[in-house]
Amino acid sequence: MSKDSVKKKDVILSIRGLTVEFRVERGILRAVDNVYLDIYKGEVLGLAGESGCGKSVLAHSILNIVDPNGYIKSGEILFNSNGESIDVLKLSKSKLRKFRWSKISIVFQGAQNSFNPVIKVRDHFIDTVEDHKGRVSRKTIFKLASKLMENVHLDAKRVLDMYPHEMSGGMKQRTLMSLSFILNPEFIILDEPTSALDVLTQKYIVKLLRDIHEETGLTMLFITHDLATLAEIADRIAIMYLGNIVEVADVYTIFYEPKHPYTKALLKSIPSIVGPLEDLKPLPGPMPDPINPPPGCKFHPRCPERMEICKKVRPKLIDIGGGHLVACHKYKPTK
Amino acid sequence: MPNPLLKTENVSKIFEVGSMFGAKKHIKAVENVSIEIGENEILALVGESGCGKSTLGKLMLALLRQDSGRILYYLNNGYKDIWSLKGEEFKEYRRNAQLIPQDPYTTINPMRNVLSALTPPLLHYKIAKDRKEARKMAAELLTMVGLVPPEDFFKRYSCRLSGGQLQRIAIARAISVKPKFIVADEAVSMLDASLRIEILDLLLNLKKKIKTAYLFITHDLAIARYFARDQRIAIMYLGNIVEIGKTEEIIQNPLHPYTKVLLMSVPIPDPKIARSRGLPKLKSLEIPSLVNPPPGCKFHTRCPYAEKICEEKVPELREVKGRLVACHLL
Repeated sequence: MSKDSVKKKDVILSIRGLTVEFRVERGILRAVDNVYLDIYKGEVLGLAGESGCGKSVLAHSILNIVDPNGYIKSGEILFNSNGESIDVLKLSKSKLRKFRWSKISIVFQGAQNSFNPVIKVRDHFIDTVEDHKGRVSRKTIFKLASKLMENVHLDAKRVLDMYPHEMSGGMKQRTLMSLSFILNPEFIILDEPTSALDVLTQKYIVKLLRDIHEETGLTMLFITHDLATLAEIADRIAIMYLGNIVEVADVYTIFYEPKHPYTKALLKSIPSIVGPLEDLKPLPGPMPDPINPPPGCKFHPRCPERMEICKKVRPKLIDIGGGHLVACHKYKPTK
Repeated sequence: MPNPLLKTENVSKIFEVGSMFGAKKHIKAVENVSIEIGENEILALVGESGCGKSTLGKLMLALLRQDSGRILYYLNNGYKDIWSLKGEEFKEYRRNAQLIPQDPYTTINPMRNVLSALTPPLLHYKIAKDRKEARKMAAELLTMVGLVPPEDFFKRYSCRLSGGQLQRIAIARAISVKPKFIVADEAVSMLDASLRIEILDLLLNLKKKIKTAYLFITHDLAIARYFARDQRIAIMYLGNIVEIGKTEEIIQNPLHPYTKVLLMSVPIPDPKIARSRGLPKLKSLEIPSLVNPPPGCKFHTRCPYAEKICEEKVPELREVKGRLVACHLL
């Protein structure tokens, strides 16, 4: 995907000025801090960062399902479909229910909790479809379900008749994916979809997602702490640090020519089975307290390239050319 | 290997599962494993969850008792069965064989705070001569693992600590008694990527000073390669060691089909390489049941190269190209 083509694509989801906070015993935790992010139709956008950076909270906010302890302080989430622009955060409860799963689907971390333990897999499919589309013939539902399950290498005849506890973790995750696709959503959010699975199954699931994406042009938001997984599937990657997006670029640029010091340091700290071992360096200093983040640029205490201004002024996310966004005082926007 | 510190001979461990009313089932978690760990060496033990690696680690520390085979520890110029050790000999073994457990949430007794979790072993093994010195050492240990300022952590109980912090405390405690052998069971899995290298470097630096041997258990081949560079790695599948030898040789040129498939599946942080790799050929994605393992070679149900003999006969670990591999086809 060339750098220029990124600019001309349609924006399917636009997050504007989103701030999400949590009330905790020690104070207020700002998990997502004034985030602006555009997701283009048909792309796979990877959202990466370490634990506590706010990526999961951001994902849940898109469907307005933030934890009871948290609240969306400000911002808009605009979903563009069929020429219409909907602010998800302003949808009524009933409209939101219709919206979820049919327009935007989400596959949560740890599929185990997403199933109703007392009904079979076939009933999960029936319930999901009937909830959104009213009565549909069972024959149609199962035909569709079987095709989806075939795509994820599941034996539909066997699996449809199973109860959730009879399935392995890998099977549950793949079944959940089929369930997520049954209503043909335009956009799917995957939150750590492969982290609880063994390496071999992970590889297959990532390849399947790539195939599905190629076939259907489905837009995907792929959230993970594992940058290596994104190397294979993402078109663009957004890096998050303590509630802020610090860099966004196409996958090759992020891995081969990163600009933000945090991205550079993160890449240097990931061990790999290829490449020289001597190049690895740990990230300096401890992760700051998210309730009391450092002033100015939140990364400045750990940044090897910090300047005076970094201690005082929060850098804005700017375009340094070809859709490459960086939040760092070292860079100037292109005219 | 001349005089390894610890060795297992044909060790097996079976777990009984099943309810009171149903028929009891048996899981052979570890089957016929013979490995050696030399003084000051690192053996990375790699495999996926359920392969028996944690069980093997606990057997070597006498935290579980094997059902067959022996585990021998080198003590006073001879080998002793760890289950026959008594008195001072047992105390020496216990001090020198430490565990960094897989579940950090069970690391500390929830009724104790961090300081009172770290000081007892220092006092018991007379590494600190009194409480004051023990407190000072505890502060040094916490600083080493990046929990600063240490005084902030002394009074905390485990409910106020994250998984990553608890993991670092478990590491601090294991290294505090300067043991000859540590079983590190997924010791950095709860830590963020950026912190893992820091902790692994800490352990490697300490190893230079204190000469500790490691059984480094992990499912992550990339981490295993980093920690056990220039050392050895063993690959485990459903209770058996399938390949064991020098780390870089195995990573660059795997011989066992399972090792090959594993290496083809590990994510690589390089888009050009990652996107051009094919899918490893596997006959099935399902891991066989441990209760009813497949006959012959346990990997044959998934192995793309399996032949008739693989379904019938269990392959033995044999020497091939300077390492040990359990496969009929080599």
